[in-house]
Amino acid sequence: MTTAAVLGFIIVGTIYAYGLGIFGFIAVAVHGIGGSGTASTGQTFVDLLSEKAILTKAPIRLSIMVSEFIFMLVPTLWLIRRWHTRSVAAYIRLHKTGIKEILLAVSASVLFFPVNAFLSDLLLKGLDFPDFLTRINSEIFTSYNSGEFFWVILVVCVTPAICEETFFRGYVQRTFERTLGAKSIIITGILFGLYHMRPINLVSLVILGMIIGFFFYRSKSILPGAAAHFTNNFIAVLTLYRYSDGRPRVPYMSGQFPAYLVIIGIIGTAAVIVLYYRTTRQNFGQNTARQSETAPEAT
Amino acid sequence: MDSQFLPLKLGDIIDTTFRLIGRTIVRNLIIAVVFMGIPVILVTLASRSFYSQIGSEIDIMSKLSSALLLWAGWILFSIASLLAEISICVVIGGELISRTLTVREAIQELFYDKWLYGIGQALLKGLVLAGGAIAFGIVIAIMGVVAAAGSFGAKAVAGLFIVVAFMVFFSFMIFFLIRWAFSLTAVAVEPLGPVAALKKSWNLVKGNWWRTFGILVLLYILTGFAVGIVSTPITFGGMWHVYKNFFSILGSTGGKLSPGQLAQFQRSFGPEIGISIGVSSILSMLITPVFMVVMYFDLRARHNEFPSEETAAGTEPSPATPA
Repeated sequence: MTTAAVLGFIIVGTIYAYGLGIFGFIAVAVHGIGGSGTASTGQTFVDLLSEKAILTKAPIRLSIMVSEFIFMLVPTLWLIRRWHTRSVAAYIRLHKTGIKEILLAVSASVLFFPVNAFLSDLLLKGLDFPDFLTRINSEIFTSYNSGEFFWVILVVCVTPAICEETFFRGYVQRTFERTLGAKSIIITGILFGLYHMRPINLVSLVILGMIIGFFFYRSKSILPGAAAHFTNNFIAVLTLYRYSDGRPRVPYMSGQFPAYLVIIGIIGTAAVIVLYYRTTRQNFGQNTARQSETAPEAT
Repeated sequence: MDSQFLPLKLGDIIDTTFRLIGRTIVRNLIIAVVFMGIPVILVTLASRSFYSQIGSEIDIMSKLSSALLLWAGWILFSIASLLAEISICVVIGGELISRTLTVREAIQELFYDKWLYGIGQALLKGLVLAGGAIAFGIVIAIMGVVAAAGSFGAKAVAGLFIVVAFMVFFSFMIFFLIRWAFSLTAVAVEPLGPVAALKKSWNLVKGNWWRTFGILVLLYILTGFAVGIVSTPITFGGMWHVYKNFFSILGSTGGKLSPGQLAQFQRSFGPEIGISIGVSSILSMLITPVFMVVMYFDLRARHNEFPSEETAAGTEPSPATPA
């Protein structure tokens, strides 16, 4: 099982990484990035970078969304059918769960966001990362009107909630769980952080991955984790929702979070996790009994 | 006497590789660190000295000695990698014939004669390929000189010929590299000298060139991803100082770097490069030799080098799918 999980992670991860790269390159080439590639008179290097970031964000968003479905979701589902069972939905635990668990997962996501942002800010400050680079870097997640906002939600929130959750929790953690039990939460969380290849966000991504993995493990359902993942990304997109002149539409969420909010976030997240544990302790025995009856799995 | 080993499908090669990695990772890591640790440190120190002198006023002899030290460090690193790879191949080869070797036993086997044969086959292979490259370069140079003296039509024809010649040359290089891909493995796993190992590899790949090429490309891509996701944060952490310096300069200048600032940034390189390359190399060393040995055994099985028995006693099981 451990071999299958690691192998599956590497195979799907490689397919996705190369698929996204090739598809993204083709998408940008077809779309065209405009301009001469050199700065015009009076235009600085920063202006040129910003211009290219804006021009390429549409094809890059499309390639991310399409790639996650084609190069991540499809291979994951194929691997499950090929290596484990034809009952794919049962394997990834796609079944209903209590609304309380979903609401708790969403709350944890909301409470953890300031902590997540604080950790990232800490590392960015430590690196003296210039503000203009942060703005250029986040341009792909920034929207300036409602149509673009919903499009970004689809790409950045809905797509990972379906595709990444199916891959990481539905396949990788589920497969690790068969031999490692609860330790699968930690391993999958680390792989989730490493996979994003964003060293600055590594720590916060690993913690977030573990929290989502915890929801998956305790609920024996993929839905709470998917809801938490969607919520985390939605808040991030909301903080980058701007007017056409660049002013944030949600001002109090777009700057640095104050220290008290970070502390509340840590305490609140911990409290929700404890509450989630107690809530699912009652369901846990029922869920595992139901799983063993309804999910025949190949060995 | 080798146990039976059956030809493997692609899925079995990958599965066997991963099972063997899991079984031998500690031993292989010790071997890799023992051999490559000191050269990595040497390269790190030499890089620090070399890069710190970029654009500086230090005399030419100091710069030359830094460059020579760095060059020597890389040579030592290459030899250490070769020795580590042979030792790891010895361990993996042992596993495949149900013989569990300790680190000490693998290193003893290495230094009995394999280290010499390993270096010998690398030199032979390098000489042949370098010789081919030099010969090709001479032909191209002659053509270029002749074309330059000719008419526009002659220049166009010569230009086209040079492009085609480059494509043919690279095709031949890849062909030879794949045919000789297993010469080091042959030295490690069997008692073969350099010439015999090159011949063995040549003959094993014969009739399986495209299959071998495809599988090697796929395995190297998978290895690259696996090594990449682990080494990226380690490298980032190791190069924190470099990144911080770069972003500080970028932030203070609004994205404009003067030549002096660029030189200052380059001078901050050095030890981090050694660390990042060392980490990636050691991680690759845990994977690459393993699948090379598995493929070596697979090719030998395809050439009927193992006794055909009904039961596969003492061999690695080859399930159709991972359990």
